Amino acid sequence: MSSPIISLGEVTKRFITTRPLQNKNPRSLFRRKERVTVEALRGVSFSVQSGERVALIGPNGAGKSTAIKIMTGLLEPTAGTAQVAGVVPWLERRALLFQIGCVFGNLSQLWPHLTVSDNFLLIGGMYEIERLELRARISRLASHFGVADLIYKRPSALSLGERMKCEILSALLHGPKILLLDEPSIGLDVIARLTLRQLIIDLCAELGTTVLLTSHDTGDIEGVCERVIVINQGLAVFDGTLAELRRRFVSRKTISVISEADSLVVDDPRLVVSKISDRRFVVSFDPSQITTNHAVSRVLTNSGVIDLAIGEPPLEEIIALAFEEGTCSAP
Amino acid sequence: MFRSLRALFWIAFRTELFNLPQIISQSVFFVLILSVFNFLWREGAKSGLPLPASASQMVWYLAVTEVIALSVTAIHREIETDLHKGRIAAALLRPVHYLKVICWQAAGTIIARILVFGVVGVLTAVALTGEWPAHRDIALASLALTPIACAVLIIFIVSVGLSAVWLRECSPVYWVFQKCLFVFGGLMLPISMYPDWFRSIAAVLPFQPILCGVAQGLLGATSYDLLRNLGLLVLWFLVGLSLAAYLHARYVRKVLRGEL
Repeated sequence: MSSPIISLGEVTKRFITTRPLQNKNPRSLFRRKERVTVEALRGVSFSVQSGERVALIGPNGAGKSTAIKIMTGLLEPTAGTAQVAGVVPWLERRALLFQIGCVFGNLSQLWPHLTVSDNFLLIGGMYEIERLELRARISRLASHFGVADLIYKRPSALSLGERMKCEILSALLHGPKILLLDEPSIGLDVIARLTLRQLIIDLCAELGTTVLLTSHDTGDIEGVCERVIVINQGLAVFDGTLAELRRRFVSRKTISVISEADSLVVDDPRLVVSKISDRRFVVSFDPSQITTNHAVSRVLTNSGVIDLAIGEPPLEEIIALAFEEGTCSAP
Repeated sequence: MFRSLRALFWIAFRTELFNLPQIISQSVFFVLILSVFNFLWREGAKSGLPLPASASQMVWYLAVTEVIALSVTAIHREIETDLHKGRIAAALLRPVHYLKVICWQAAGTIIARILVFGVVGVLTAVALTGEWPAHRDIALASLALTPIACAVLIIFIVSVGLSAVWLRECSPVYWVFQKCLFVFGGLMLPISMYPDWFRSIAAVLPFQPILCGVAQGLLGATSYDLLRNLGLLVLWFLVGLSLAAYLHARYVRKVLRGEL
């Protein structure tokens, strides 16, 4: 396997900050604030291979932003090592900025008073791209993104979905090896979200760009990423594929059953039956105690079963469980 | 690096040059102001008002100070918006420094405006006074200082914009700054017409070299005066640049500490 494009080794980051002293503290007579050390990251390690699409998720204040700031060279860790696109981010930040592209869902990086085309020319100029080469890239990417006839408009005249496509296009103009996407689908409608996700997947396949996505939208995570890193309280509590995440955190599976009869009887105490409506039932079980095969066969002993569907909790619930585990296991 | 700055400059230059509604309305305002003051100075001269120069020279003086004042756009508002929307923090992820981006864009805009208002000012002044400036060489040297004066002005306005990091809104600061520029800079009246105490205050502020110092060539200042003013402009530019860089660095430190 080739060397990873992103690697963080035991990265720790401590911030020294201030907080107001409580009134009952006698020192508050003389000092209004006290210095406290906040440990944002506590030995986070992970690596990402070139071309991978990875979601970095975690609850607010988990340490995601700190990790991203370290990866983009905006912060130097207190301890640990990091290499992004072959450079140490905080030591060679300018070189690194030519290798990464960033898109923020809640922050437009396009100048509102310029046309989209001028924005692209300006951004291309910042990355020292030859004018002819730049025009060729704009034309190629614009047709790929389906925004070729929008680039002579100002960003304010575009819909949110169109603007986001232009934002991603602008982040790709300099041909970055890594694309950092922070909540890219925020505020987009369902169709625009699906289009955007497909676009990101196609693009990575075509250009071999590595994608690091942070999102609270599980649809983005499922739709775009093949791997998930869960950060909570400064620790990487999970690093693996979505299937592994499900395997580890899904403690109960369900079988939805439609029956001809008004009741459903299963002769196994490990299967719990709940009646949803007249002829609809949900049978839940712990997959570590009983296999899905066995559970289904027990349900099918009822002669009146018309239809059944095996289900898992939605990804939101699984991620919430992963967050909880991180909280519990944190020292 | 040069390609990026050239792109910033030219796109801003082109955009401003084709911003016709604003350019036309401000040109009309400019012509109106010059016409009113032309009338005022001529009536003042007739009634024995002690002017430091002829009425025509005073109109030329005003034409130059107005070109400088009109050419500088309200860049502080742009910076304030960038701050509130987090665009300055995002600019840390671009390979060109935010201050360079903002200053080179402003340079493109200002040069476009100086060209337009310069032509409007010269044509209007000639039409109103019926004559060219008396000391043509010195007048040309004065005009050459105009972009430098604008650069000094813009760097201070950038600092005003960055004050929004602590004040949330920089409009009150800009209001004070603008009034100081008009009064201590000698927008309409040369500083030599003011009392001594006022002149001694104006001498230690950056406003006088920006407006009066540049336009004094139209009132018969010597080449030494203009050279001295150039020195002052360079000095104030460095002061303004240091202030803007310091404020930006303080802001970046706040961002990196997660305080914003």
